[in-house]
Amino acid sequence: MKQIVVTGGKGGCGKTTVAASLAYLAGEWVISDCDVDSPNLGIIARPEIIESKSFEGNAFMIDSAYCEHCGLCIRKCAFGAIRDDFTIDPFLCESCGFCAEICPAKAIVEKKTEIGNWRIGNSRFGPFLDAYLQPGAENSGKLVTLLREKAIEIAEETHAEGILIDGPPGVGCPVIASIAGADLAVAVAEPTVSSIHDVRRIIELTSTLRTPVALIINKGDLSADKTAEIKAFANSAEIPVIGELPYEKLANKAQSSMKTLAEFAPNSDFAIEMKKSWNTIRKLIGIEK
Amino acid sequence: MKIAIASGKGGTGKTTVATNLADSLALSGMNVRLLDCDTEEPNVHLFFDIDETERRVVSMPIPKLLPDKCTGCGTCGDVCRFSAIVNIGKMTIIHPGMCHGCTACWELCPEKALEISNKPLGELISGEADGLSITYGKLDIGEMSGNRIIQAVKAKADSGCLNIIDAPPGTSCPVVETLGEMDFVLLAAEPTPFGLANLRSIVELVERLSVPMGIVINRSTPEEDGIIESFAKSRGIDILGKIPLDRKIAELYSAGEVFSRQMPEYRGFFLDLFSKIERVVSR
Repeated sequence: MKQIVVTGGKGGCGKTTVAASLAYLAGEWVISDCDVDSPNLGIIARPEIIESKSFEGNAFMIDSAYCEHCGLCIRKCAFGAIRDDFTIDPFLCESCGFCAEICPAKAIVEKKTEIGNWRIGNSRFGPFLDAYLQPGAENSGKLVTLLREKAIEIAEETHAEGILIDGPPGVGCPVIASIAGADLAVAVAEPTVSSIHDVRRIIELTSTLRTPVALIINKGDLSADKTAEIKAFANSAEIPVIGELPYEKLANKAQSSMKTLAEFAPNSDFAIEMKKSWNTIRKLIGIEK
Repeated sequence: MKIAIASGKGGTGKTTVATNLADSLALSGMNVRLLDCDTEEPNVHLFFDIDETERRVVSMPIPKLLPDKCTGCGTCGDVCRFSAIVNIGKMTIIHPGMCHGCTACWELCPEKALEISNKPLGELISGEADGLSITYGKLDIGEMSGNRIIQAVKAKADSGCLNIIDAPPGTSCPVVETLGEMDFVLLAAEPTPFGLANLRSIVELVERLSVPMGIVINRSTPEEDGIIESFAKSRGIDILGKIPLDRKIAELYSAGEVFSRQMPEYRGFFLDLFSKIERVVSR
């Protein structure tokens, strides 16, 4: 079973637009939206949810009945998370538990709290998973890893050919968790200075993680110069460019009607190019000759 | 004053708003610092020709084992909640990549067998460009979290200046790290279903942080704006401005240009945006 992750570094470069069309073209793959901050693929996939579970984290609290106000916790917290009034700032606290270990009055207690949830459902593309992490919560990487493990279980049960992952923006912890171990990373780049800068960093990351990578250029017609720059860079780095998608006026209309572009405008240049990209991907991961 | 530009979704125009706002205000004679806190994918510097004045490594404290002193008691592995120290039998193995720098292991080691060493996380770069003072941070590839670099970038804010802070996308820990101690959060929103879903999340976060906020709609069109407008109205958040969907703006952005330089008719728009923010903050 194969795992493909759609990535790109930059937010808004078209990851979810591309992932949604790939999900539609793949047919009966397991779809996993691993952007746990902004899970948007569900808006298009509209899954019927069959299971929803909470994702828990550890929170620490100071019990005022036991606290003797000695101030040790305030002095020792590496994150400055304990306020002068002996309460803990949940946004700054990284749940290391050091304060609870050292409190002489044993006044600091640990509680499990819900910090997000994850869901499994059925969509017209196949089994669908996503997750939502509460704003400001820690452990996004852990939640991504959990989703990927569940996706593998489902793919094995349903004998799916593969898993398609929609990845988060950036290069940090949840991005690493979404890419590591995948068979192919499909990096989406737009012909802009920002996107070129960001996708170069993603390619540095995929090479560190030893994940094969291919590029899709989105809105290629926005700038001929910058599109040529992406191709030149891909060529020198020996990365295949597997698609060059045009700016598609109907993109927003498709999104508003909760459809992928490949469904909404099947004869558009975008949809035709996307289909070619999908066939190339199948060859790259060795499920078609 | 500190104004952060944020959005739940990436690509909605945070950097466009931050660079144009900072540039327009600097051209009008204000003392402005532009701080890019998106350490995973910093983009602000791509829009300016920066004369570098400072470049330094930002690191974090991690434990280093002194094998002669270690008795293999296992305390360090027990107290570490991040799987950064694992004890196998009498052996102690440190995974620096997992460490959060909480200090529990070396503080609690009964043998003082762990010492502090510094692990580089990335860089902090500062410079001047056209009367603007710019600082950005860059997380090393493979590192998990840029929070400590964000702190270093934010430390460059100057209370005697106007500080404009470009936040990372999303609503997770780096965003929270960035939005602490702001006077105002300006949200860049895109009038699409994705844009609305992610705007909801960031609004929820900013409400919890109790910071005043406003919205600027980017890629605005009269047909699509309603989706953001009705949400903003229901939450009592003002829409402070709209940047239209315009291919010329997209092309200038693509080439790395601060678009209001080539389209000076927009300078007034950004000055006006600032005076609206100033009114809210001084209230």
